Amino acid sequence: MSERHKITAVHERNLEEVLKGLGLLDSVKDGNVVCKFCGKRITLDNLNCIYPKDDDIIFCCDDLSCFQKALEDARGVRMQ
Amino acid sequence: MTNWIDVVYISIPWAAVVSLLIYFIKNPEKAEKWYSLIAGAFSFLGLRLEKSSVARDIQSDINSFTKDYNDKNGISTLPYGVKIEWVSETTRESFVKDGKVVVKMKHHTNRARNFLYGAMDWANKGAIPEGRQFLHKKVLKALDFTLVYKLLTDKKRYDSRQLFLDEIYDKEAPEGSLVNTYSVAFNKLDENGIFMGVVLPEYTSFGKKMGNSIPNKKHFAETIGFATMLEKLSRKASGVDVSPEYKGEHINCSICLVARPDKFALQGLEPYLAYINHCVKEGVESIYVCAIGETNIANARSICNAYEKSKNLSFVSERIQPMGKNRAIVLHFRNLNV
Repeated sequence: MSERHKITAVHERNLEEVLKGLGLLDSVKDGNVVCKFCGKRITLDNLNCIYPKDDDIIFCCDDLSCFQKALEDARGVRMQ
Repeated sequence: MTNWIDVVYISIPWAAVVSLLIYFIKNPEKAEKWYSLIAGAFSFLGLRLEKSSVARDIQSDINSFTKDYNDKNGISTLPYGVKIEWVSETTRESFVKDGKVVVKMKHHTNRARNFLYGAMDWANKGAIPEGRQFLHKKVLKALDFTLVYKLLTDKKRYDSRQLFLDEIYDKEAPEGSLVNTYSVAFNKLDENGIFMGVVLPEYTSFGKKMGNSIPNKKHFAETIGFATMLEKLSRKASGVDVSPEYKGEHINCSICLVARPDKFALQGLEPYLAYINHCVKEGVESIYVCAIGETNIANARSICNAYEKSKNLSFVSERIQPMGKNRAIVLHFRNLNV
């Protein structure tokens, strides 16, 4: 195996600490954050992934088709 | 006499331990799998063991899949394995600077969902890493879906596969869509070893040829054109002629199917050699001889042997993969005149 692609993950038990570090824990707990792809309200339970884009932080819910879109969006798959 | 028996009694367990160690050193992904199970059983002792169990469960299957594929093919079409990197605290500044997607993994008992997250993330980066930007979005999505589906099937992750079908595939590749058409075609070609032996290597090679150029409509059109030829080939019925050639600016290949033992018995090598020689003359860059089943494999090998001393064709690689109860072979040649 020449190289390994790093998958950055947060265990659900560390999620609150990570969101706290980002200054977003209260926003999530207060229900002020939505999934970029389906508009669903993000909670600690249904949050699936987060990534930065253009100095903003994007949230994606646990719908797997939203996750697929998030991976494409984060890696800049071009719209054709 | 007693001493000898003692020596044997002491040696057997040590020999077993040493053999096991050698096996794990040679197959680190198998060691990871065992470690995952043990760490999972003791995960109540702490978060570190719990995280280890989750990470190694994902790493072991994806890494053994990429290893199997690259070992057999000799071409690094899937050069990346995976490593789970845990984040437990961060700041906004470093998070933005790192620019990484952070995926939430659940407790190790949610194996199906965790594995699917890992597989999707891996496919989105690990497959055709140098060429993704140059592929048409719908072709790329179909390639990713076929690869993830194959990984889940090969590794017997049937619960993850069901999640994939219900929650991703049905939504992102609905019946009648282009992504669905290509995914079905790639999956069908995989039954003959052509997906892993021809489709992925050709798109990988396409990406490598692009080098520093900027992706444009011509690139997307070429990748769609190749996928369209493959789709027609995937629907080919026995005895019906479908052109197995694609001559684009960068993708330039042909697939020679050796699928009819009756034809081979009757006409021998001649029709196959005539077709391959025609491809060489026409400037086809890569020629793949594909066969499934032992008789066809033997026939494909005899075609390969006929070009042993050829000055026009060079043998690149042989890839054999199990296909249910059968085996499939893909023999790759390069035209030395192009």
